[in-house]
Amino acid sequence: MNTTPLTASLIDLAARGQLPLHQYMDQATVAWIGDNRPDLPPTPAPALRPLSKELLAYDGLPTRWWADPRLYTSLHGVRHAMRTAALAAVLAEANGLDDTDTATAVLAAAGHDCQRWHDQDDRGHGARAAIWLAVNADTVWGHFGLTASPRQIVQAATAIRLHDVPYEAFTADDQADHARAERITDVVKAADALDRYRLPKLKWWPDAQYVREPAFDQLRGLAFDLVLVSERAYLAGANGTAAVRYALAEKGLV
Amino acid sequence: MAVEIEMRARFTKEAHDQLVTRLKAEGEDLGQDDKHIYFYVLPDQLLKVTDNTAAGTAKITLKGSKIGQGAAFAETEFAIAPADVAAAVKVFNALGFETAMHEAFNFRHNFRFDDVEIAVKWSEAWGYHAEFEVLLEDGASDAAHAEAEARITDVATALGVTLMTEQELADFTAAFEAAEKERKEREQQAAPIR
Repeated sequence: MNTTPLTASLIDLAARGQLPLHQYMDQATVAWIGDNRPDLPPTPAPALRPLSKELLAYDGLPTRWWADPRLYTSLHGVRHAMRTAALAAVLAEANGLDDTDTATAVLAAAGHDCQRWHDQDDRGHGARAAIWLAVNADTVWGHFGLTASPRQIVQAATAIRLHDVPYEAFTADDQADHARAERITDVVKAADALDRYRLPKLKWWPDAQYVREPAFDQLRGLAFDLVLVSERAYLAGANGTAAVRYALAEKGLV
Repeated sequence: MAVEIEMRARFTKEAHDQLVTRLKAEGEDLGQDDKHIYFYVLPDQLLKVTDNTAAGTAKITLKGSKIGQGAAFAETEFAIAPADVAAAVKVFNALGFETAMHEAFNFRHNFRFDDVEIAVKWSEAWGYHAEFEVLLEDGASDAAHAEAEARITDVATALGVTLMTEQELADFTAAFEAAEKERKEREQQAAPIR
């Protein structure tokens, strides 16, 4: 029987190796994140193209996209999805992606974790989300006022499938898939990794050795601030969508 | 019933930061006042259930006119317990107002500058904006109304803020209501998730 007090903070639970299946942000953990800000140079506000701003300002991501509604507000819920989508948009600019590929990367980032069953090491959640995206592509693209092409669906699903597979663990099939969606996959994996400043252990924070993204280190300051501002806003009472949109506004992204 | 003279302005993040810096230096800082607001846009009135999350209080407010119908808002207001906010919203929704309901979280910081209260805010619908307010006694004369509006205009000018005209406010709120209606329709028509 789990005797962990419900009021324990994520940092306490992480330190004791007792993080629960569903992990929700708390005041002590946000304060700890703020206290542990690495010595990062400020990131100048990146200029996003109009398409990216439109995608980030579109209707909030629906709860029904998540396999388990309990995860919508958890560490892998809507706030993580929106921040990852925003970071994917920034990385798309940094890598000179065109409008089509930018939209593919942003949508893949928005949906990459929606088929998780829990917040722990949920093996295979990328593969589940890739299938989910392929089946629901019209609904997902339609949510953003876009129409999906077969190429975009394959590339987004590939990026989602591979987001939780380390590069060094790629099989021959993974490598072949990656080659067909390399830039989008690399952007989604890096955007997801940059949002690790929300996690309640320093050793789990962003590490460039696990990604293939030259702009990764330059964007650490932005990623950290997005986490801190939006998580504080969420705990102040804003819903997940409003909390992240406020952080995006504060960082000049929308 | 008190009367609020309210005027508004929307601005960029840069203008917001400059305004806050100036108000912190030259005005009176009244503190953070974040609110979660459930508002019901009725034909000629505005009904609000406000959860003052930063202050730990709550209230129900009926305003006698909508934004964009003049700067004077006759206001009836009473406090409720924060724990009763959900029940109040449920009651108003059950009374048939649900389709007129919108919900917003306002990040808000209050200041006073030259006897004008200034709430500097951010919300999803309005972005960065400010509300300039002078409270008048019930039955205040037309001259007092005009004087309050003039004071607000002078303060806004001194702070380098351009106030929105009534037409701009009416256009903005009409566009917001139309966008919300469209969003709700889109939500209802969305294909099921498989």
